[in-house]
Amino acid sequence: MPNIELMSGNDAVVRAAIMSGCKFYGGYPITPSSEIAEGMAKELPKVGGKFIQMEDEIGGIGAAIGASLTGVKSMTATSGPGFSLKQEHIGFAVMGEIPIVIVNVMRGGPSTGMPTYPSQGDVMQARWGTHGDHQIIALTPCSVQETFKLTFEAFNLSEMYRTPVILLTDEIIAHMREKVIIDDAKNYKIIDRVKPSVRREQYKPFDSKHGLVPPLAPYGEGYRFHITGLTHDETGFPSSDHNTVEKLQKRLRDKILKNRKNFDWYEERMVDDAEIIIVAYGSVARSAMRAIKDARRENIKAGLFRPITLWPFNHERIKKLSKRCKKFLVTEMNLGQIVGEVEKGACGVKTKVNFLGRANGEFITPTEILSKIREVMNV
Amino acid sequence: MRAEIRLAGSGGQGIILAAKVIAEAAGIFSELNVVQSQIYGAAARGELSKADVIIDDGDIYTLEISTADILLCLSQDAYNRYSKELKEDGKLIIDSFYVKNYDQLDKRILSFPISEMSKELADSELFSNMISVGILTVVGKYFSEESVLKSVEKNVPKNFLDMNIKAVKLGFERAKRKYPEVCGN
Repeated sequence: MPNIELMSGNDAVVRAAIMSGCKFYGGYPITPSSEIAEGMAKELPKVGGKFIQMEDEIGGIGAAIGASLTGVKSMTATSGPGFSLKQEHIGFAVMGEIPIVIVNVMRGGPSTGMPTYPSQGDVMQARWGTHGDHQIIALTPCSVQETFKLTFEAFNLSEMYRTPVILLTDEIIAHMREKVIIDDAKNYKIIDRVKPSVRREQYKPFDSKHGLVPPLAPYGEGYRFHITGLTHDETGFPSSDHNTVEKLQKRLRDKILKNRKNFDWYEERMVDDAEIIIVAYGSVARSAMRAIKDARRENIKAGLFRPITLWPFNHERIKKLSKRCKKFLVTEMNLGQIVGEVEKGACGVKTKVNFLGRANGEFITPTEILSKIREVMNV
Repeated sequence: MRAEIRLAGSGGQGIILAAKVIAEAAGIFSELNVVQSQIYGAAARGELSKADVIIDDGDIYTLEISTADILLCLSQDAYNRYSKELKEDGKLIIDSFYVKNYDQLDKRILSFPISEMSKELADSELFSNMISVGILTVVGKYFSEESVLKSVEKNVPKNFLDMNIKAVKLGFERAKRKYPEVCGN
């Protein structure tokens, strides 16, 4: 029987992580994500898992990456300043194809910024924070219930595609309490990484003959292999041979982009006849849902496009919508990040892209969005 | 139906626990939708502390309170900061022991010596928050007395349960007696 509980977004991450089979947390507490560390410290020992508070955020993700290589589902959680510190290791996990979940509860920045106030300022950092050409998956929930759901998805995607997955929440979603329907554990789809079926001496950790995602052997079971941040061949040893590197880079890209249809999640409300489409994600999308209802009451045909998978961004969907509507209004708690992606998607079409954003720690309310809708639609 | 409830006081007065009890009374034991949030300063005790509970029988999209239907002020600071953010037909519950300077002509104010009541009950101010929960329940009538008692049982430590239940019931009774036209059945 499903159980209904009142919990915060951070509580929901902990609950879903444990139900997903997460057995290791390495991290360093930071507001507004600390309740995740607290919760994991309490819950992991009960399921035979391990929690380590490391010396800093870099150590936290490093430990989680190491744990994942032994075959256990691992995670870390942080906020802005800690997310900056973790970037180098996120790149290592991309290159080494190591499944890991990173939760970033966004707060006001740059630098230590405003620890207890919300923001959506890390959207581009989630995409391009680590250097080099790479693909990343980032999911962004707009409720506590969805935080619960997307935590499962984050673990599943990281295991399926041997990749770091970022769950991008914000201070509002993390700290507010809402009702969450929690079903029996057996009713949730849990995906585990594919293990090698070949003999130990034949195993190659980056063997492309298995398709875009090579099986990953757990350290400690007799499979001997090398992982490096350097470009490498299929054995995992460093290589700068241009053809080898080309093949690796393309596979790393393709394993995410060619599988995108499996996790290309978004929500649309009242877009069919919409003249103006609001693009909003995370907590701000809640305000936008109210604003489009209020706008409809004033006979303004407003709709909502809410990306749930923020990265890779769905430019194609924006392109389709742009042929239907007259205007976009992108609203986010920053000075303009996803708005650039919407412009990219709407490029070459007449649809104008408008923007409502702020980075002072204040939440964007339905009333503000509604007045901006009126302004943009000249009513 | 949408109700916006704001609880405000000083850190350490148990505002957040009171908000959690109310949120579960509405959300879990009365099957309404609920969003509960709070701001907190860097210091744990003594600073202005605020917790909001939004209750709705439909989906909740507006996550913040602009003007409250019910506002509880357990300190003068809380009154000074939030009393203007109350709906015209809202209700403002004050602890008359701590809130001395208030608008005597404001008909929306319901005044109770909450901390004094707690001292009489248990020789301590610790139960002010649960007395407030009791008062708020009968003032708002958004959820039943029974649901709030169930929520208290779920949220307070077992060895303090009896006193907390007594405190909530004291809140029910005193509010009904002092303001029967607002709090009567």
